[in-house]
Amino acid sequence: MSEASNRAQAMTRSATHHPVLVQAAAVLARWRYPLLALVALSQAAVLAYMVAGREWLLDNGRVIELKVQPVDPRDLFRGDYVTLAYDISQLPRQLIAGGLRRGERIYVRLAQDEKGSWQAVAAGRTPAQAGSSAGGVVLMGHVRYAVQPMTDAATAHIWVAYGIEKFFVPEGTGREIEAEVRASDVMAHVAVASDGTAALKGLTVAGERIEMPPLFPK
Amino acid sequence: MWIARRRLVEDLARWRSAGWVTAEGEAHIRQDLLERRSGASLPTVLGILGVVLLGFAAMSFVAANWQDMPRLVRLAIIFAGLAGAYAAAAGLFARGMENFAHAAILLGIAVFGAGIMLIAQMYHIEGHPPDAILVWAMGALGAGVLLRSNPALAAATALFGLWSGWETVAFSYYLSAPDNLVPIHWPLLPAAAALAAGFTLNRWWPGVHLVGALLSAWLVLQSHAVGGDTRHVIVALIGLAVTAGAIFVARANKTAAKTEAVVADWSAVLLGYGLITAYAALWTLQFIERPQTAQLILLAVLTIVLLLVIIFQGLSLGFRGAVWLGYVGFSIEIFSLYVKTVGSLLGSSLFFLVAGLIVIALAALAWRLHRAEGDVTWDEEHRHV
Repeated sequence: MSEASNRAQAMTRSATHHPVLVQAAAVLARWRYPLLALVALSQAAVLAYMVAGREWLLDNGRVIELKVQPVDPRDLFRGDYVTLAYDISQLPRQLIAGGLRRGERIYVRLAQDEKGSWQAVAAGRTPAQAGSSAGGVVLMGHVRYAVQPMTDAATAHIWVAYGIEKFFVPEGTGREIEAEVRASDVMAHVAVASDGTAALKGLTVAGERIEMPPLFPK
Repeated sequence: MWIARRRLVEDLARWRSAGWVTAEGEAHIRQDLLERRSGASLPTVLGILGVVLLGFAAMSFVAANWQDMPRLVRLAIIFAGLAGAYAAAAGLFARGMENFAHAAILLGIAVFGAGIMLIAQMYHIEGHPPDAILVWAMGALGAGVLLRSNPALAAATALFGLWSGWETVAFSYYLSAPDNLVPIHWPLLPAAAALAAGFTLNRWWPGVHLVGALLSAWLVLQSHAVGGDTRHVIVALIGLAVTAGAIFVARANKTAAKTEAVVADWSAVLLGYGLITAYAALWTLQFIERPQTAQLILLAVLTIVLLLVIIFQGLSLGFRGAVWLGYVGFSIEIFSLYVKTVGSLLGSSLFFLVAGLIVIALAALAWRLHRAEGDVTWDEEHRHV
């Protein structure tokens, strides 16, 4: 054995034989089997919590219909999901003053226009800044890209992701859905929680509704 | 490792019959050998590789998104896989097959990650991908600390690195802020502390090095993400400060009345990571940032002086790792300077100037080396008193 590894071992031994560490290690060793069960149950609980949260949101969230925009076909189908873009994915830059960084959380308030379609009317860094008290639906999103605030206001945009931009499809079936999305009107059914979290409930493609069956069929 | 241990047990019996070791001493040494974790063996390596394959099988199962199978059944398979992996770990622990048990824990962590992906897919969640990695990393960290599992902690280290890197590179740029500044990704630091604590509790030294590597990479990455001209200078200064602090502590420790092996070893490690960080930043300043010729010469001279100081200090303190890092850095520096300057009018001249300095430096090094040997011997004797 080299001098270095001897030295490392000597160091490890002297540094890690502190009574507190030794005792902690002994406790963990004594409770090994209950701890195994605890780890397994906690990880299962995390997964169950994620499922329950989504199921609750789909069942109880306010459902709005959003028009899906035709997307750059190169981006539309990647792997096993369809990429969706909405009218509200691009907001006018002047809706939010000041600098924005990528990944920053923002809130966007939607209201229905006279034709009944949902449009972005305000945005802010908090639900209150987006005017949540004024009614409508507030969606939480993350900034994907934003130009400098001083850039020409008329053409400047903020690109926002709401977490509803991917629709996962069975392996190998993306191309068919891609063709339909380009050929016809597609509407997305989105459930929105009171905190602004959005969940994709389903799509209506060429008048046909594609929706997940419930987890526990009633 | 295993052969060395068996050999030692045979030797112990011989030493005891020769009267060099007492029966009590032999019992203690045997107990100590048992407590020590065994190194990697072929079955362990195969077990870990098998688990990696099973983990990828679980993730491919998710990726296939098999619609013929009801979602409830897909979820049930993930939960069953989770329960099965940890139950297998319990069974293997009960049979004393520690290494295989840790492989089973690693499988449980892989299934946990596959479960997160499956749920994201089932509910069309796009969200913020690093958040999913963070949940996965926390699961691995919890398993690693509570079950004292080094493979789990190593997986957690990799996952935290992926999480922090993703946050820094893809999501944290102030794209439209006038000052073009990026917030430093501080949340990695508590995660690194927890990982280091877990590895220390397990007395697994390579794991602590893994966390050191994670922190060095984090520091260098932050400098690339943060805008402004001073970014690499700041990283270089942090690295130099750590290096200088480590040398100061090591020298003070060496000249103290009672030399502490722990202090000497920790300062050797800190010196190494400080040097790696400082050199990564200095290298970027010289060879990525396109400095002017005068700046390049100044930086190159500074770097070479730094590396020579490290080599000398490493020799006189008996830090073999620092000496080797110094040699490696020196070689990279000279080669990079050659590639950068060759072909330009000034290039050849600069290169030969540097080469001349190297020869002189090596001569000085050889002279110091001869003198330092006495130091090392003195150091070794002193340490064993």
